[in-house]
Amino acid sequence: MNIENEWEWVKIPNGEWAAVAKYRDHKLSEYNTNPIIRSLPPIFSREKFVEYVTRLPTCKSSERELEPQYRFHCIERLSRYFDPLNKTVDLQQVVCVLIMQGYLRRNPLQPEYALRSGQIYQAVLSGGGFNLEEYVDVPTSASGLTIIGPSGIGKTTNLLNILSLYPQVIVHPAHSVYQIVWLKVDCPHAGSLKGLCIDFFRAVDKLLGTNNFQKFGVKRNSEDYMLAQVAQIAHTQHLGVLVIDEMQNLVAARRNSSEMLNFLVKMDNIIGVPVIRVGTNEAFPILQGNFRNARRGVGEGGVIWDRMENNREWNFFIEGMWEFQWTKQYIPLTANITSALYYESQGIIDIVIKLYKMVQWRAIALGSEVITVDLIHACAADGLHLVKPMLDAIRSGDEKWMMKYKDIAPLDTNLYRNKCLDSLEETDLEEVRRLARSSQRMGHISATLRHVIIELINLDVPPATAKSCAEKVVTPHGENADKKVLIKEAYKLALQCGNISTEPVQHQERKIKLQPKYQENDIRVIVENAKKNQTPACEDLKALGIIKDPLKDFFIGE
Amino acid sequence: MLSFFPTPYPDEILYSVFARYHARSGNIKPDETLQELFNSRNIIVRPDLPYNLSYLIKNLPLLSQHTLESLIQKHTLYPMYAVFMPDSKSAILGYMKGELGTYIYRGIASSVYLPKYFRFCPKCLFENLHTFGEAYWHRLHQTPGVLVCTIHDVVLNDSIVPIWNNQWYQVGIASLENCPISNVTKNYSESTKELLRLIASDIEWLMTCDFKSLPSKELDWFHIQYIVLLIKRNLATLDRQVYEQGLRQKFLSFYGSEFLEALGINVSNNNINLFNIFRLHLEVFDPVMHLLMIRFLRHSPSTFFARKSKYKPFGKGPWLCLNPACEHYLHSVVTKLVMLLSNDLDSTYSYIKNPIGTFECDCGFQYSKIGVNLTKVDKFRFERIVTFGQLWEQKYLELNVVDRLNFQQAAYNLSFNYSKSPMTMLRKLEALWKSLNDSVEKDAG
Ligand SMILES: [Zn+2]
Ligand SMILES: [Zn+2]
Repeated sequence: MNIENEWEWVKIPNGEWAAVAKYRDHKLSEYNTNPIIRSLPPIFSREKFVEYVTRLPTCKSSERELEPQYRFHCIERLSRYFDPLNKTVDLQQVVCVLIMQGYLRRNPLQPEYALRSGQIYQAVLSGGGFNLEEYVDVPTSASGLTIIGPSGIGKTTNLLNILSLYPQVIVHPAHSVYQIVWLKVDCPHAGSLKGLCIDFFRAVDKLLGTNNFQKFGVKRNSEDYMLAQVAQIAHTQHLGVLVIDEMQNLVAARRNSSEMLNFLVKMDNIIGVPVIRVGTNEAFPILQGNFRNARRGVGEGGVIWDRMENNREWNFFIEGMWEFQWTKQYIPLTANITSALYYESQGIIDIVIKLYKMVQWRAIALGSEVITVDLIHACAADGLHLVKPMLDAIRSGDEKWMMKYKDIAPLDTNLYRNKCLDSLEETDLEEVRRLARSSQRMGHISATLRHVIIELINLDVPPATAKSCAEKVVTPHGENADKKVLIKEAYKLALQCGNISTEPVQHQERKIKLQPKYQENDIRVIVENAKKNQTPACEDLKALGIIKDPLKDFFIGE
Repeated sequence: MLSFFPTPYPDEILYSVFARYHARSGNIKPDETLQELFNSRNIIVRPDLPYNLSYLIKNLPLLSQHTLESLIQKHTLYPMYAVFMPDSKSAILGYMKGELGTYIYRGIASSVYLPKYFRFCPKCLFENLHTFGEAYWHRLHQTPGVLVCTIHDVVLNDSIVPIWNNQWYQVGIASLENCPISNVTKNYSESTKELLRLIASDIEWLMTCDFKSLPSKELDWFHIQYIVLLIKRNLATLDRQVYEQGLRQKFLSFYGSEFLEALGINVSNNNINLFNIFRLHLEVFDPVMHLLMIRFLRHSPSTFFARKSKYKPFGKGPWLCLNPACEHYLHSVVTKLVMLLSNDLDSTYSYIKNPIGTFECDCGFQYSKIGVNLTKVDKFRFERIVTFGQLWEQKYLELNVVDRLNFQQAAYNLSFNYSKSPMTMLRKLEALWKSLNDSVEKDAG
């Protein structure tokens, strides 16, 4: 499912793409008097959400036949693998309520909207951003959310995947305004409010092509003034939800973190823009207040986002992931493997996916092409040593030790992959040399031969037949014979083989196997030439599964 | 490009929308807002007729449904002037689009009597605050000639915000602070109030009527309608002389001095420009005076604009045949009248100022005439004979050479002899006919 196709998009000059508002009636009438809510996607059922948000990499069994280098690229697709957990679905529902409820009392068609706008401007004029409550007294309907959990366990990923179901910017032709549905900024390292404001201005400018940073972000402007501007922009552009990530940066900040926290509370309580604060466990002491503080009966929600338990859901998750295996030999999932993966990752999804990638690289690099429990442990020992102390701490259940390793350092797997690639290249080089030797004996496919093969393929001769027939004809006649004659002869031969069908060639896919003596490189040359000549050979080869669309599979571009 | 533009409220003047944009953008420096709206930091934002609007339209958020025409039509004072402005002078529209830079049609600039301060209706103010959460400057309330709210029937108050200070960013949005409700409201007499209501609703009608159904008329159209109506009231002559003295008096007694003072109209003799709207070559357009004159002449704007009076300097016809040879001589039988319409730029409206008509009887006789019929004998007047017609030609052909020459000489003298009185001219024409007849008989005999 692709949510993008459900919208009409326009490009904002110097900004991002904006979806053109389509107004729908939600099932709840209180949402239907507000165009800003009516333009939002419908409230998804849990099933629909899962369907929309799940992102599976493509994986064809034929890809297991590819050369190792290409399979390394395939494995990289796992980085974008997203399989929602139960708590993802729960979080989505919370976020959806947050956004819609937050808009409820910011209806541009209701007097409160303009009233609040005027009041915020008074705060701007007197630079009273930090004391917004002294200027703004219009009731709001927003509440905030705090998400805390160890790093690397997918808080941000899950949140962004949930938010990706909403167009980030919606243009309302009838109201001449861009609605920013969500905006994410990171809490600045120094924990400075000015820094936060500046990041906010920049993020809005990037979306809308505006120049807020230039106008309001000048360093000499006061913090209060900038905060008021943030409030005004959020109000004017109908910001649906503000996500502040990396809240743990506040802990290290020199200054008192309460100013920032207070301002964020004002954003949802006074301006009415829901704020989602995301932070690692380190931020727990400063954010825990948000879990207890039930304000105005609405309450600031809090979610502890922890690693997965070794239970049914874990098994289910691993089952899903396991399908994406590019080793030559597919190893079915066993209970031993599942628990080995749990032991090594301790239920941290980011780690288990990376581990799974490493295991595949390793299996391919070794040439064994088989995943075993031992291999899993071996890879973990090599590849996860940076996070090992933390994982050990988790395993031991020793909380003090866990606190020492407040966060799991983001795991960089590139090093490991390159190591595997290097070892692969060593073995590969041998292979190349071996192939070179044999091809010396066999002789290269000449230009004439290539030409005849392509012509035959154009005449619907299957490539394998084309090659053998062409060889049979070209070899006795020699390179310099008339190509037309050669083609005629070869085609005659091919017809005798009876392998030519007028039916769509796809039917023969399974029958055609790569001939071992058929060098990969040469096939690619054929394809390359065919492409250059715009002949359909390339298309045929693609259909036969002998080559892949290079743009699709060979380059793992985003 | 703008990331938003406030949706104008009903009857909100564009100036006020800009002020609301300023506040919502968070801008403090006015030139920042000017740059964003008009791509210029030193533009003057006129309350009545803002300009550079096509830049604004181009830079509205994508797919915005505002059009230049609808903004100008619904949220500026343009419609008020447009209907009284000849198409050829609608440079003002180009000016508002921004095609002419800072040029503005001089006539408009000199005749706009905008109020000194932004005006507001206290009841509208409260209603707007309640309905929209903010108040705004109503277009109609700032329009010259409007002193009462047509919705609430309340006399408009002055705010403390000067209209011409070009500090729209400080003016900001109409609010309880800058719209103090004064304790002393002006107390007009019932009849004045009635008239104020009438003129205000006329102006409202003009501002909100479908513009395309009311195409602007050329100046001669207004001139003719007024003259024709004034003639009916015996306040002007057939040759378009207005009896200003009498008109002033009747105008004053129709409206009363209280009303005219309230609108700032000076009817005393030293205001020589009072009736400028009758002029053919107009430098200024005073829409209020137009509307007052229309009501004075017992019309409403809609019936007035539907009028179709044409300029008939020679009256209705049929006109006299002035051919002594014709059996209809001095009878009203002539129906063919051709007026000379000059397209020459130098003589715009010469068909009014100096009408020339050629009259043709069925007998073939054609005479031409310059200027209107003023006196009773004027209908016998002709300036020259264009064609004698077949009756004359027949006789002429029967003449001998000497008589022909004599006739030609006499006819020539007659054709170019303008100074004579109508009756003398006629008598000479009769004599010419007679002499022609005599000569023919003599020759025949
Ligand atoms: Zn009113
Ligand atoms: Zn006649």
